[in-house]
Amino acid sequence: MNKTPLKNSPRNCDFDWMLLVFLEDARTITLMRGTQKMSDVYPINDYGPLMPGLVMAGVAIVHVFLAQFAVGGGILLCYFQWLAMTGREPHARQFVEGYFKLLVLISFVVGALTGVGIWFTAIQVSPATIGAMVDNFHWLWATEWTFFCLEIVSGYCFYRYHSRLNDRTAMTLLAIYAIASWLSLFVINGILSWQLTPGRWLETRNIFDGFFNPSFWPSLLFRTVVSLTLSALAACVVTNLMWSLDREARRALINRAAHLLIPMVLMPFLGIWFLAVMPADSRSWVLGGSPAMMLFFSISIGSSLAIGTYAIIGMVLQRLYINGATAMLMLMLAFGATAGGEFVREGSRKPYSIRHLLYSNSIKPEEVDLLREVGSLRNDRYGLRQDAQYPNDQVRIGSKVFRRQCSVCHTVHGTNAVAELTGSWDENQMRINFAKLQHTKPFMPPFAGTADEVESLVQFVNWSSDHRPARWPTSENPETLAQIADWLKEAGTAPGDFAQNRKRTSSRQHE
Amino acid sequence: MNAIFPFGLPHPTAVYVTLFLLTFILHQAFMHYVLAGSLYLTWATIRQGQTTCLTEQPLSATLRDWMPFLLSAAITAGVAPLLFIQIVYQYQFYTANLLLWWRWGVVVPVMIIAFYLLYLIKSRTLWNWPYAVRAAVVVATSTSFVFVGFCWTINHLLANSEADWPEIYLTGRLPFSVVAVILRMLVWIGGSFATMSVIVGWQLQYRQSTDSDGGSVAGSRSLAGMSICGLAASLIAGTTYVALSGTASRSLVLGTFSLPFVLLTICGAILQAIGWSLQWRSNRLGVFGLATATTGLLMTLLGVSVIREAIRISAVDFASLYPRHVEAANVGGFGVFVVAAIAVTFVIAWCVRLVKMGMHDAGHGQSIQ
Repeated sequence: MNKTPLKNSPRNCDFDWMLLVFLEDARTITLMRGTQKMSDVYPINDYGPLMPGLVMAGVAIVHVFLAQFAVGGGILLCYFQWLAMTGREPHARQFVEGYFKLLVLISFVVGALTGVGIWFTAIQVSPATIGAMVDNFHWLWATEWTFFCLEIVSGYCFYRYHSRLNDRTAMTLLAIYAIASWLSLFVINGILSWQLTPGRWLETRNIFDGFFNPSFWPSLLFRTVVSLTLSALAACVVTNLMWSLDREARRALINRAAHLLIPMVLMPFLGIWFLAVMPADSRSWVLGGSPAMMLFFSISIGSSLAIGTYAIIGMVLQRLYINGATAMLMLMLAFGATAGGEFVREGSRKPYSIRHLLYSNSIKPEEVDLLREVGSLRNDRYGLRQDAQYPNDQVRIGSKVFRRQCSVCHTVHGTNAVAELTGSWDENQMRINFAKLQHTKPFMPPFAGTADEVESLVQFVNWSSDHRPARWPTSENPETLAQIADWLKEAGTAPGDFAQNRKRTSSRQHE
Repeated sequence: MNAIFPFGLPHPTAVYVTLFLLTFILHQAFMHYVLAGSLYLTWATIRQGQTTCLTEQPLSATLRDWMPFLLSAAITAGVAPLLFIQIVYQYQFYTANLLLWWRWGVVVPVMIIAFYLLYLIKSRTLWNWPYAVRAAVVVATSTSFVFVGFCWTINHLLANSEADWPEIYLTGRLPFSVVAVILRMLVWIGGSFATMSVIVGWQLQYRQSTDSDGGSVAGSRSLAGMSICGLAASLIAGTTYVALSGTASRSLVLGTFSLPFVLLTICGAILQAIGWSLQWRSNRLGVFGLATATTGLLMTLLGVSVIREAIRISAVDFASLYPRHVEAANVGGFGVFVVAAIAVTFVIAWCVRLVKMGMHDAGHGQSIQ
């Protein structure tokens, strides 16, 4: 391959507002404007009826559930080890042994591997997002890795040798395990919450401003309470599997485990704190602006409320016995609550994947201006699979625009399908809505392409909605394109403002 | 690239590539144990047939007992190189992932299955089952690990083939010769036996030293044979691969940049051979022989890893990645990592000490209860 010496590379040039097209081996096109480079375009895969974000969510929810179970599990085990050491609970030692086996078999295996799986899936869904997270926080991620190592070593030391260790040593190992796993939560929480509320980092670019961002503490405390809850519910399941114990002994263990459910009373306050520090637009999606997000938010609250009420009244105050089936049901409810919560956390970032840094379609806000001029496909070197099925080049371009700008959140005919979402729109409505995308729906990013690309996308969506006929006319009316260009200009390149109407009304009233 | 690695590279690049290599070597140590261990168990299970109980052999018993933990360690240790590769070769690595698509996605479920199979192999239950089931389980386990290795090999080759990406995206066909893939796989699989032999050698030596009768534990000759054969296969495959690779790769591998590491690899291999010859002759696992083999192994792992990187560097436009590394180096947080790494290393050492002391105390009935 022909190498480009660094000193001659256009990536290092510093021209002001100059557009430069540079060809490397006639394969790579690098576009620059001043010091601003167009983002790399990756080969995007088509998931059929599944939208990529859904695949990511599936893996992420399982991992978060298991990881939080592991964090809470460490604390719960310390508590039971203490009960065993002080003689407060005669069967606590037996419980610790059984519970830790479950932790090793589930969390150390599926939990650890789904963690790797999240990375792989994130790369598939949005390489630019995971790339930005790694670029900005890699030393903190490396720090988290050291805690993983400590978790594994202390955990396995306990697992292999606890039966041959004295109580104090066993307790120390468990405490190290619990602290290490909570510290791993501490680190990852900072990175994940930065995506929604980067806070002062946007001005200072200081890693600690990003890490200790506005939603860091409510999110960390909320997740800690969730971890304790999951560990306690899993303890109820494990206790019911300890068949050698009689019902009274099991009830005693369950009631002890239920103590870790008490912090659930803090959940509403922590939830309100989290909502309060959320950006106003994100909060508005959750509180009614987006029916899907509000629904998931309600499911999450409803499930947590059901678990919390049963736990506090039934298990803590009345010291009720909970059988295996009920414990499993509550654990499933907790899974539902986790899934709902994670969906809301991910969804409320829209139209960004990292607020003010990257839109959900991996286009940077500052790139939109440039893409409006040169088009979003200029450095897309990947052709279309099954190219022959497309009736003309305009539809081909539309398909590529869809792949570049829409496919991370939408499918053509499956989940969140554009064919269905735009089903009742006529062509002109489609043109204006695409051109003014961020005003059509404020949780959509601005359209980042030319008027030709808007028209191509309209034709592609119509052609797809019309069952992909073999022939399709090309739409080349100059007046239409001029009109789209005007709409794009009117829309501007800034993200949509969800409170625009309110501001307009208040300004009218002021006048 | 006129200076020895990593001195010929700009500072941030050198730091990231070195960290990538060091953490990758740590990952390799654990990963080799599991890969070679599962292959050995497969061979031993099939060879022993229905008659002998494999659970009684010290080598097999140690492998069965430790492989689940070592796999956990391999996965955890693998997180760090996976992180640093995203700094050093982000665009190449991500594109390779995307182009492999579902073929890459199956790595995780396959690993989960293999992990649980290792626990099944560890349990006594499996060894009471019929021979066909035992054989099927060990074959499935080792095949899974070889498959994961194959996927990583393909991913690596794909990341180095930027010119072919558009074509691969359209057709899904991978343009690699079977010979290149087999040679690379042989380097790793052969080398994994050398690593596994050293680690399990120390485990057996510890067992031998703590045995009340002080007798030798069977397995020193098996380990010596596996290590030397694996090493030879790995070196032959690696030499052939470099010989068949392009001029750019060869000149970088045999130039100032990595020639010292080629020599390091050869010296390491010789040391390992000497170490294992001593074990073979004495038919006993001795500390001196094992220490010699361990030193040689570390030299070989480092040498091979640098050579592998030199081949990759010659295949991509490496200089164009330097600005990214400079940007990454400016984000801050390195101090936090260093402090955490030092603290965690001490706590890990403390954990091991705690276990030794705790077992000693428990043995004397000093439990606080």
